Amino acid sequence: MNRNMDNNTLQPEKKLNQSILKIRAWSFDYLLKPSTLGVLVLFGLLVVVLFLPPVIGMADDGSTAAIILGSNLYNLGELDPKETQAFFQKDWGIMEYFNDNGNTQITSQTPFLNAAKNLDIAYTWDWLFDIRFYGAVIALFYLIAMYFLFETVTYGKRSKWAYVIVGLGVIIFGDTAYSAWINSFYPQALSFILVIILGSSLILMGQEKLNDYLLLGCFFLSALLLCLLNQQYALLGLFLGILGINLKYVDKKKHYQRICVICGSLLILSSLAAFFIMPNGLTKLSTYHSMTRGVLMTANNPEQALEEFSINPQYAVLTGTSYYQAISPETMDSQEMETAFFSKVNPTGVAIYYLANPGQLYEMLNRSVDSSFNIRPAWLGNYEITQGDPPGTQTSFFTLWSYIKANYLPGNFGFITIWMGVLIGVYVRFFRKGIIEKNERNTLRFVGLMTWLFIGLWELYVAIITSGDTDTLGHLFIFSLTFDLISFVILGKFIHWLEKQLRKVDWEARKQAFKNRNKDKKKNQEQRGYRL
Amino acid sequence: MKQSILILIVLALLVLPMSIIYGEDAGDKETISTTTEVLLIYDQLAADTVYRDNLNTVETLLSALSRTAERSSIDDYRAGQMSGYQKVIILKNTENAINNPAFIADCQNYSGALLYIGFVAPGLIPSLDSVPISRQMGRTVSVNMNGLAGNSIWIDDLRVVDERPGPGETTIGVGTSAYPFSKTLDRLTYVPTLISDPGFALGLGEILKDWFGLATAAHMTLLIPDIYPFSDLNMVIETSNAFYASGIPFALGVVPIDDNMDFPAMARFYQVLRYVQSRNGTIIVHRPSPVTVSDGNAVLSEKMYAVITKMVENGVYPLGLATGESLFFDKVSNVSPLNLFSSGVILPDPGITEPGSKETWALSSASLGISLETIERTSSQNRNFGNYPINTTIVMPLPENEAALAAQLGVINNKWLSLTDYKRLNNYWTIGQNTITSSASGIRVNGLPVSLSYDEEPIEADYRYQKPPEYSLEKIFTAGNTFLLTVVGIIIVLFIVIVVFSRRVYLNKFRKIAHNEEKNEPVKTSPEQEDNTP
Repeated sequence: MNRNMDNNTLQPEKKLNQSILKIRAWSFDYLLKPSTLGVLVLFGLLVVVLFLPPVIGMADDGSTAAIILGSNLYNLGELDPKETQAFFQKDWGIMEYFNDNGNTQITSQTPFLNAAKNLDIAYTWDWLFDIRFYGAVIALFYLIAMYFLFETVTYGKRSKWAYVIVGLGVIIFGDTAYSAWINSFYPQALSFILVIILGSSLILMGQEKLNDYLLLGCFFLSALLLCLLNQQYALLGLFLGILGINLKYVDKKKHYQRICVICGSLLILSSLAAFFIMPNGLTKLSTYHSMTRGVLMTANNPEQALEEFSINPQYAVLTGTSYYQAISPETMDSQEMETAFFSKVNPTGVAIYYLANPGQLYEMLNRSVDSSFNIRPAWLGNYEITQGDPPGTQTSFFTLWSYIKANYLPGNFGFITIWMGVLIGVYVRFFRKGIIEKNERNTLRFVGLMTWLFIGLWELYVAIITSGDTDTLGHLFIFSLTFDLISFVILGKFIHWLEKQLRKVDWEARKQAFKNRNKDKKKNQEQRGYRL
Repeated sequence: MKQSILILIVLALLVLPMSIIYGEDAGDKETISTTTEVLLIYDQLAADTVYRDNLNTVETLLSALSRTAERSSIDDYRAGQMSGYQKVIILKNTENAINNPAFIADCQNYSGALLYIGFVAPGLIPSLDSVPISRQMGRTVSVNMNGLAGNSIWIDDLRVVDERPGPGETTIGVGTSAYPFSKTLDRLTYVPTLISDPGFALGLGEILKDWFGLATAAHMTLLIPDIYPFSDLNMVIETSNAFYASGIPFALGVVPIDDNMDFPAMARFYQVLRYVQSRNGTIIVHRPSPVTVSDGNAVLSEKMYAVITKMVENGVYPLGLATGESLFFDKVSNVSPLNLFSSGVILPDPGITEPGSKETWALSSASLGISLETIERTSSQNRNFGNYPINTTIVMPLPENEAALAAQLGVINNKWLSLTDYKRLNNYWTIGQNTITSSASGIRVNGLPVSLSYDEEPIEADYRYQKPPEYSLEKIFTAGNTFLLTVVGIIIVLFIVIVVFSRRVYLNKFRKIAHNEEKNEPVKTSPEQEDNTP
């Protein structure tokens, strides 16, 4: 009886203890890992910033109207046209009836938007769309991307230093200047995630930390979504596709190689198709700025520059003006302006012009790098109008990194060149080693970083040729992001290296050497004297 | 002594700004009457109906007749508001019932002059109910005035006063029969139908002119609007040559652009404008688009002062203002210096009328902009076109090519239009340092007559577009640079000196050793040396 009693009473306790131990072990194994802990902290930040009032997001500038129409959403028009850029708008309308608007656009954002819309309908049953549902969908992928990124820099290790690096990552990528984009319909939020996954899946593959097929899938899927995001991203698909085909050298498995070749070719084909099928999304606004805030502004003689485009040189008076500044909208939309100015400007022409005038290109690169270091455009507000903030107020909550970046980093292309030199200098030996040893997997760390660098520089150039220094199309966001990503990875590398060096040092021996330095001197003197 | 001087300075400082402010006030008073003359009451905007532009039309006409008004919707009407006015216009765009009892009561008791436009509300104004009205559906009508027959237009729902028109009265022609455009009963004037059409607008213009008792003779001018520095300037020159050859006086509407005003392209533009002035053309300034100057009123003001000063510097004398009627709803202080012009052309405003009640101001003289097509479609009884009852400005867009120019010139010539030279009208303004007056005797700038003959001035060929950037504290930095350079120079000199001397010191060290060695073994070497010496 007693034994039975014991069994009945003691056993559960034991079990409980065991399970507590198990939970502890599990949480130590998984939850308290630096990368998971970082993701958890980010999750908390996102909840506070994006989902709890005061809700923070990016104000709408109308550029996404076609995309949200493609998902049967529309602007409720709660704000005046002048206020829309100054205040974040949380509620949007869901169309109850057939969407007969011809101005719709389907991009890789559409499935995410549809998912969010269905979630909203399932949850609230009204015809209002709360943008936070879209934010939630994006935030989920954001956290996954951040897990990947943290894994690349910590190598799955659990040292004090790994926690420091992840902490830095939270400060850089959890910055509200980045996370505020999640609560908006801009493609920036999605491209943020996709770019992170692209590079970090390559680096992780090089480190053999996760399943190769999973990482390969992540790479190709994010590449596909990225180049379907917008016509201007489509050409990136060519580069990523070629890179994807070349990934077959990484592993000797037949399946693996086949997947690489097939997916890579599909990526190239779909990006070409997207480039020709998708509307170019270039508005008069960006075309105008690509000339007045780009070519003309930096030209030694704007009239000559206009003549190269065979435009009336009198348009030189518009040098440096912005779209809303000098000319009335009626004139802007007039047929005369269309034939005399807009029809003669296109990104290809501007790109060729800059290649022929590298001095101007350098000047524009300087300006663009500088403005890209402001992650949020200065004219877009973060708060809802109901919060009562003055128009265009941007939040300063958790914006340490973006503040430092905007105010203290030297925003010019010379700095970027030095930075690229450091990057290539540090990482090229991995590449060299991998090639010499015929171990292609080792080159992936370098390739991943170079992919980021290439995407960043490409976007920088695209921003210049499509919208001058104004970046109304959001390309500089990607450049800014890749700069942060690469800097973060290098910083992680540096911290690891520092740790290694410090561990190697035999402090006692150094102490002794320091203490003995005077004896050595005497010895030397004696020696010298002897020699003399 | 010192104290008294100080007090004098303080007094001078106190008085100076006051006199400036007083001067500005006086300037405002000259052009803008302080109280509004007429109360305009409308029931609804009637968007999506043929009456949607009616409110805009009435406001435009009031501005073109230089009248100030207060606008109010019936719903916003406050009891007793009417009694403050000698003249009231009621615009009823819909047949909807009136829900404001205060308005109905005031209407029935109102004793001033009343102009009633549109649908009759039964019982609102007792004398109106007795007017015989013929309502006709689906008619082609034309408005005839001053011997001019307007373009025929289709009207779904026509209401006319069922009477025979008096001689010389403006009429609405329906088929072969004619009805009076309006009916006057004692202090009430009734206009049964108003739709958005230039003929109806001009007809109402005449009624309004008589109603206000304006007796001045009307004039007609010609305006080529929306000229930018990057417009087809060759076409501008060709057009002005053609007009000059045909003896047609015209005005050129220039859009003010305050960016890059010292660029050669701008100098070329001013040159063309000077040429246009020499070809009997007048320069008129457009109102800057309210969309483009959203930054604030200070920006608009600064911009306009800068543009006008620059124009006068370059021998271009803008004499009037071309604007939509919405300008007059802005506060005078917000649109300065646009309000300082004495004359203007009221162009059709593309914007939607903002609802609500507001007061307007007005220019001293103005004219109504009508399109060239209106003239083209209007037929005159005489060979000579004659004139419209109110001041009008024909708005003719810049021809795209020579064929279009010839066609437009043909229209003007065939109609035998009697056009007035804009600069011969009495225009005047004082903006910033400049005062400009124009009259039949010519243009005077600050009291001195100016010549409008064209003389070509060379345009700077090697203009420097890229200005070297200006740095703050540049002087301190250059001073710092020279200081550092001298310090570094001195250090370099010191360094060289040290290097030279240290070399000697260093060498001396060895010499010493050599010397010691010499000391040690002089015995061996010296005799040999001595031996060798000759």
